[in-house]
Amino acid sequence: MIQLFHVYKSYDGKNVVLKDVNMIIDKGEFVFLTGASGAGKSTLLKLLFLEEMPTKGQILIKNKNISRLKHNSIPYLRRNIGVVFQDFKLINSKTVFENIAIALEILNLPKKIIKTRVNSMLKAVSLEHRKDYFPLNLSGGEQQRVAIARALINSPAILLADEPTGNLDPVITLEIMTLFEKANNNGTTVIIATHDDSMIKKYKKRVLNIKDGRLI
Amino acid sequence: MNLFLMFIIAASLIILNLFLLISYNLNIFLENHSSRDMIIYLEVLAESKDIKTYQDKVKKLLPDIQTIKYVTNKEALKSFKKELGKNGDLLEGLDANILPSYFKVRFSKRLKLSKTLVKSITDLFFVDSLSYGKKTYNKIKKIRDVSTSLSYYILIFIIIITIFTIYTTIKLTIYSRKEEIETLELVGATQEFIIFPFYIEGVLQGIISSSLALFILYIIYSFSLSNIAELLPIGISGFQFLPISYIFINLFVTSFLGLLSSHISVVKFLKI
Ligand SMILES: Nc1ncnc2c1ncn2[C@@H]1O[C@H](COP(=O)(O)OP(=O)(O)OP(=O)(O)O)[C@@H](O)[C@H]1O
Ligand SMILES: [Mg+2]
Repeated sequence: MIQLFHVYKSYDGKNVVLKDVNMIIDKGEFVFLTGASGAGKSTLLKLLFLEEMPTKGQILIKNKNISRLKHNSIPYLRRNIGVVFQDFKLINSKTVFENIAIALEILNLPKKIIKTRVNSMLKAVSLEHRKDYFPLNLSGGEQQRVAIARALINSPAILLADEPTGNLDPVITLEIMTLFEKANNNGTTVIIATHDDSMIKKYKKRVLNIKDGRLI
Repeated sequence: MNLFLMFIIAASLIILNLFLLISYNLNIFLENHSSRDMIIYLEVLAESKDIKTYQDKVKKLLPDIQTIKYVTNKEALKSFKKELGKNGDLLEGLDANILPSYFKVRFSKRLKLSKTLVKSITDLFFVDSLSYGKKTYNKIKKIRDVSTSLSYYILIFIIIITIFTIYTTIKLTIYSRKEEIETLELVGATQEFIIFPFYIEGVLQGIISSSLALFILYIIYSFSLSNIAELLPIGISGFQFLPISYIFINLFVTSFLGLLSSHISVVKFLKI
């Protein structure tokens, strides 16, 4: 599903953030990506959905070399990848409902279908009562759940979650992790970046550890 | 959307359409009043046996002739008498030879004579003079021409102003939605999906501005109908509002300008 060969990434040409990263993640895997703050977890995820381009090396997704992707096919790759951004990236001028719906609107789905799917997703992340709120009127944990709902709503082939439970209390964390496992059981390949060791211990999944930009 | 900038576009459109309104009405007037007839008076001494040759020469010079009729001085006298009615006796004993014979020419189209053409006709050796049009006709034509060329200048001004204002508005919208656009891109929205609303906004601004302008112009028109009509020598009944085709052209041109300017803005600021 995801293959990286000798991937290097430097933002400024001087400091190399990722060094010779090689990895293979199969379809349907559930992987934790860990490492200290600044180790390069977010950077690695960003390379996968082309927010950033690798400085060197090859990245294959579904056996396609994504660095050779034409500019106008990038959106179609991204539709297969649900992303929970570390900074959420919610649209502040849109309500919770609209923020989640956007992931379906870009697929030009009919309004009716969008409505039912968003409503059931709102239920899954326990945010029905916040439906018409704007992101800035939500708590950090609520915002995070909106971001999670948006990433999961079109049942993507790959889910990339960057610290998705950072702001959540244990109860909600459990709920969200159950959601991720459910998606995983339905065939979604899941990669979660986290430095929450207790979570890694609890779920007993494959762990990729980054240290100073290298996988160890 | 910026209401203030839309008012600026609307205001300049009102001025443009005011001039178009004037030109349009004067045009109607000119069309109704310009004669499609011309009378070419022949020299009194012109030989009647050469009429055929004269007629051919006139035909060769003038385009779009529908009919050309030769009227002898005797017939001219007769109709002159008829016109005078019971005072026709006054002409009793008058020699027909003091009146010129003439060609009565009717054109298939409205008459548009250039100075050179008029000169080349009067230069024909048998032609004495010719009569066509009238002084007021020329005067109104002049007003019409001034008004028309003014509207061209205003049009250029409007094109610039509209493009600039809509371009600026879209630019501001793009800046204010920078984060939103970035997010849309990251969750997989296509360029078209992202751009589309900006085009809609540009077109809407154009349409709203011109609708506003036409609406205000119509109010001005209905309230000052009598004053304007008095100013122009064409009478109230002759003073009409812009026809539906002008209105559609207005809407079409402004929405096109809206589209164009949002396109410029999108290309420049969304880096497409
Ligand atoms: N846009 C950028 N421009 C320049 N340097 C960057 C940029 N983004 C990240 N970096 C640098 O790359 C390194 C790795 O950052 P990254 O965000 O990938 O770390 P991380 O493992 O996700 O950390 P955290 O756990 O705190 O989120 C850091 O040293 C950071 O300063
Ligand atoms: Mg990070």
